[in-house]
Amino acid sequence: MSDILRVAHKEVLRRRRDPFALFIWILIPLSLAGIFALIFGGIGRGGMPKASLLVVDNDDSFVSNLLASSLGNSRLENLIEPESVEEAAGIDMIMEGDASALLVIPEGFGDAYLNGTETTLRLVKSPMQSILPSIAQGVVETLLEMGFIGRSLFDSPIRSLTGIAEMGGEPTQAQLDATSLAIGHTFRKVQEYVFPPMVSLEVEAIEKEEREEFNFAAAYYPGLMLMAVLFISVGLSQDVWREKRHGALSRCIMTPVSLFSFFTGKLLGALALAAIVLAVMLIAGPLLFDLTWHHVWAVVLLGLAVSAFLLSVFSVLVLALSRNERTSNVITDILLMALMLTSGTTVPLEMMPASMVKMASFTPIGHVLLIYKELLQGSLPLGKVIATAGAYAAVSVAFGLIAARGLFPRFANR
Amino acid sequence: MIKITHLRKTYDSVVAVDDISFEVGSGEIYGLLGPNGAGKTTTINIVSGLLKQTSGSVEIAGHDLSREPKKAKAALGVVPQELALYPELSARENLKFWGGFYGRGGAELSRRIEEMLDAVGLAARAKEPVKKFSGGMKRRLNLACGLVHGPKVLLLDEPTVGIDLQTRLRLLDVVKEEARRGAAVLHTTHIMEEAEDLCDRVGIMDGGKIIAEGTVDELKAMLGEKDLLVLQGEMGDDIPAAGAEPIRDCEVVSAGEDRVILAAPRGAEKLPGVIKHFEGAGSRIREVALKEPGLETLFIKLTGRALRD
Repeated sequence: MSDILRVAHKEVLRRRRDPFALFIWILIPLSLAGIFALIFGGIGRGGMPKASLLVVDNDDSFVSNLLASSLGNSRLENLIEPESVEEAAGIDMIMEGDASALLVIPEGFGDAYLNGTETTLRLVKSPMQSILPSIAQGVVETLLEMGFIGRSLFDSPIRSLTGIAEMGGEPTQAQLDATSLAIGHTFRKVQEYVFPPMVSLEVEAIEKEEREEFNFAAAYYPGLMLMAVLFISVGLSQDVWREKRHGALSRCIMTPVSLFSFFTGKLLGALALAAIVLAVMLIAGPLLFDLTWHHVWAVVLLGLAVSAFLLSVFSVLVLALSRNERTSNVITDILLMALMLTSGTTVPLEMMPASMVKMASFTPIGHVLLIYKELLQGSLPLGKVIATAGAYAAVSVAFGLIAARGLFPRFANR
Repeated sequence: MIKITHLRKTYDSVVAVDDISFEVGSGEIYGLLGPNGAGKTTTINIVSGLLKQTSGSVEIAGHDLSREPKKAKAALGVVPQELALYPELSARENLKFWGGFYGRGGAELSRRIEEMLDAVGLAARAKEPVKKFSGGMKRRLNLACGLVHGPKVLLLDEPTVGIDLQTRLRLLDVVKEEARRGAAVLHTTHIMEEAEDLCDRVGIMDGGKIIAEGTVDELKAMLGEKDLLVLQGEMGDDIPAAGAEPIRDCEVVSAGEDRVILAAPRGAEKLPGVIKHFEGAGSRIREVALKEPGLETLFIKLTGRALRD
């Protein structure tokens, strides 16, 4: 037993000394997860990105306050996130890429608006962002157009009131009545077009039963996690060729330690490494993708069982079917690709036609993947978990024995 | 310690090792000397358990290798011709891993590892991964891996191939030290000087057979006091006027169209007359070599070929 553990320890040590392959086995699935997350908008947390709009109000008038507060209107909250700042600080934030755009309301803006004279607002767009500054620009332009239309519609009463204010006097009751009548008259003129609007938008809400929300993390991540396990299993089963190339197998034959112990130690070491990769992926899921694992013990148990299964089966293939290292790599890589494409690691089962899902369920990874999906939804198919883990463990032991007792000594002596 | 009896190994119709027998005692260094393809490595591979013999037996430290392989291998330390190291691991980790395979561990193994690192001059680089080592350093570590568990029987398969003189001398010193400790050493080489310097006894192999065996002095005595005269060029079919004066007391070792080898006492004195005699008979000599008595001349005398042919 000590010889087996010594070899297993050596395997882990070799990977620790040369972690590149281990890193790649983890990095590829995590990179894919990141790319898919970007493509499907959001990483599980959902929602569209908002434009951050900085507002500098140099006028501080009723009208400028109205404009600034209208930017925070609930109808716009999904598009922009306004924040009042000083101009210098705002420019710094824009240059750092901490905000999408900066709107500068000039002094005298309110008076110019009420008097109907020309005025210019300044919008500074961040060079560090591409899409969000344009969203901010669109929102500001729309608001200003609405303000211009409102100003045109109520030009007469606004002029009357501002004239009184400029004279420094209080409006009389007669003047107020006249202004109210003018506003009322204008409303009556436009209400047949505005209430109800001549052009209306009918919004149809799709029932939840018809279209379930696509959960990126739940759909992709378990498959990517098992992809990492698949990579490490194939990679480590091919490692016997490296051992052979480095003369380690020949030296082992010359020692009193049996090849059975040597190979069993290698498998055990490989399983320990698969467990490390599995653990990293398990932890990365909740951290990066808001994924919630239920019944973690079942996820780990199934992950280890499928790792052991893949390691032993691929080891048998590498040892039995190939005459040289190149042929071995070609055969195992073809199988790796086939498994990746059919078992739901690259294309989620949710996006596959039913026939493909059925086929995937017959692959070792697809089968575990389906149970993972159930576990992610919070249910615990205890019977399935135990039966699957047990079956895979049994097959692993059987294939491991075939490899260690029969094929590996032949391979080492060849 | 090593007892090889009527050992034979065949591959289909090819006989790689042809009924050889020899023994190596405790503290003795036995050299198997021969050209490439003579059967040296096949013999070592059988003794180390890497190959199965077709017939014959191998006994190591009193254990028959076929019947008690585990006990026999426990007494062995093997330094293969090809490097057998883990490049990702450090020198110390390699030694610890392989030493552990022989049941060594703890303080005993640690002490032995430090001794071996000192002996092969790698103590200062013990923590570095082997992939950063030069070829010579890897060779030294390869030797140390075979010795780290303090074996009773040491098998060395051309351990100095492809290394510089300084490293070679260092390795041979380590091997001599192991023999002084009491290890039986079986050492294969095709380097004459190495065998003469290192080995207590030498078996000369050719075509799978041991064609001569003894101490270096005993083997040299087989030549007498004769030097070898090697003439190469367009030599013709026959030795011209074999009874003529310049070559009258020369022994013809071999004669071919492109090379003639003669053995003669005081070869240096005879050489000008021999050249003149052959050129006078129409031979066109391009290269001449005079070899003093030694293992190489013995090999040439026995086989008609040089070791590096």
